[in-house]
Amino acid sequence: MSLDIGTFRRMLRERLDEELSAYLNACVRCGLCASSCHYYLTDGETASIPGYKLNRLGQVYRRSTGFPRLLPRREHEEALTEEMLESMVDVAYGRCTMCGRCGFHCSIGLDVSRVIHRLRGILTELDRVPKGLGSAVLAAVETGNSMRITREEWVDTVKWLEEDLRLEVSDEKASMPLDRQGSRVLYAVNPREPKFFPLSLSAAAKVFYAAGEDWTLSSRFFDITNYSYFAGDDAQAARFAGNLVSEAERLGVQALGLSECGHGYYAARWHVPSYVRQKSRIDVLSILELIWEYIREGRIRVDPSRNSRRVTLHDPCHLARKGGIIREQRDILRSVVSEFVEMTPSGEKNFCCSGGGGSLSMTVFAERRRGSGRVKAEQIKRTGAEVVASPCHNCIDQLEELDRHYELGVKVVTVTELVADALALPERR
Amino acid sequence: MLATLRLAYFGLLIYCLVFFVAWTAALLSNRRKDHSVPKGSGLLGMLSAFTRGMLPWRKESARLHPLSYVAGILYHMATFTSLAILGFPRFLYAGSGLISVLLLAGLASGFYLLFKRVFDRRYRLMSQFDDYFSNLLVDAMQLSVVLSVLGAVPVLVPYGVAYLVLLYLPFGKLKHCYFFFASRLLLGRSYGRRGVYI
Repeated sequence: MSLDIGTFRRMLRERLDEELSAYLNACVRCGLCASSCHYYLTDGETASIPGYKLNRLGQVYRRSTGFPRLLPRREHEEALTEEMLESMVDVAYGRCTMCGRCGFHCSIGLDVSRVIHRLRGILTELDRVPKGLGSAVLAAVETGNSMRITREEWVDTVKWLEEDLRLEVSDEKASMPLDRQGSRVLYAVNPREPKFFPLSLSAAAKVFYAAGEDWTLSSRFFDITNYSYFAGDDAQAARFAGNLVSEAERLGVQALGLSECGHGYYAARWHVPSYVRQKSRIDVLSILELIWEYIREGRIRVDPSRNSRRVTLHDPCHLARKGGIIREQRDILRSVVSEFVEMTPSGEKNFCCSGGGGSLSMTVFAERRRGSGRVKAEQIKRTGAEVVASPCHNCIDQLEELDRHYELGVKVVTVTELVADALALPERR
Repeated sequence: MLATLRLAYFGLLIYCLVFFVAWTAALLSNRRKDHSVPKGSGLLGMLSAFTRGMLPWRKESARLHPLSYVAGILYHMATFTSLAILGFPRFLYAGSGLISVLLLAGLASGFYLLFKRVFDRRYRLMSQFDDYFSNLLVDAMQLSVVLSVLGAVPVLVPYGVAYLVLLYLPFGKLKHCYFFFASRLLLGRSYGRRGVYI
């Protein structure tokens, strides 16, 4: 089965903004980007070289430009064959997490992740999105969150965690408010938290309690993940991010506080306002920004001796390199742990753990995901750390899998959990 | 005759310039308004992309591939020198020794990059006709300029090859001489707004 190239070109033209045009025209296929990609570093295949990936879209783009044709087009130039489409799916979904690292090191300065995002969008429109990722998007469309958690389950979980919080801080007035009008912050989470990692949500609640934050959760929209962003479906991504913003407006809060989720933060803070031409109507803050504000302003007191093991940090690509949250997590960790050690490289140059780009949901590429995670596993090993902190639940899932697969012997936690452990709680209010 | 050759040469430079202007207009017309609240500065980001971000020890493409990096630098220096010589041929005779050395080093670099593409399977698989053709075209221009400097070929030859280079420039990878700047500006601006400086 093949696809008329005109259809593909139309879809490409619809997505052709200044950046995509520049990047597709500028690549010289020097291949020097290869050594900056965790896929290529672990499999050594040409298809994993970022320049090669970019040129899967570039080859179609160039066919519609260039010299006027002197000869009639050959058959393969008029259609995209099944093989070509499969190759596009393979590189866009199976060999790139859109981490953006190659762009930083590119001799020209091409953001390959932007091109891959656009390619994913076209493939999604062609119904070529891998099944697992498509299911996560569908779940969010149908239920408002990517893990199909019902409103009752969510509210029950919050109530149960609220009781735990009261016991832990020995304060009957401690609360995890739902739908409280006029709070300062509406806090949204990764649905993995209520489903699998309730301690993360508890930790956030404990920190908010200690800081005396005026916050609330929503009983309707609580999911910050945005798998439509991973699928390159900008319109749907805007709807998901818009749900949270609308909910924040309905509740009359001042800011939307986002739990530790790399792509969720990136999508809501940068992608949707930048690429879907939708103006930010409300402040979007990562919980890391909030926590650093609490520490800096003395709203919470922390005791680093309570986290005495050596801790290293994995920077989620969409939060750090692409999201601009780089200093906050470091400042926080230096305050709440006894020994903090950086990975090399780190910050904006950090390697992806290979759990990004929706790869965790795409089981068809699971083996490759584990294999390409070797770069991260080796980074972790070199630090000699016992604890890996990562402000992203997708990264945490991947890091835990890497821990088992590569026998790293580390504990993987969120930054907020370390903060909660280090809290010196105030006297009962 | 030289005056006529130069006139045609500048005519072709203007022809390229017309493409540059058209591309700029096309990029501006596709401009996307960014509504996100900036955390950093797009302007500083652009500045950083062309200064700090270009330092070889900050880019793995340079740091981890020193031979290719040096070859690339020499190749580009020789290319621009060739173009400058053809525009202002008096330079050609003023410093022919030094210029010849630079051009020969650039030419050797060009061949190194070409051989790498031909003989390394990974790069060969990602290469296209344009990659080989553009390289050979520029090599031919550098070689003809060197030979002209040394008096081995008539001046018509380097101009003839340069005409081909300039004519082809807007249609193949040579257009990266324009899009390099556009890409780096856009990348720097995009990251700079987020407070991340390349």
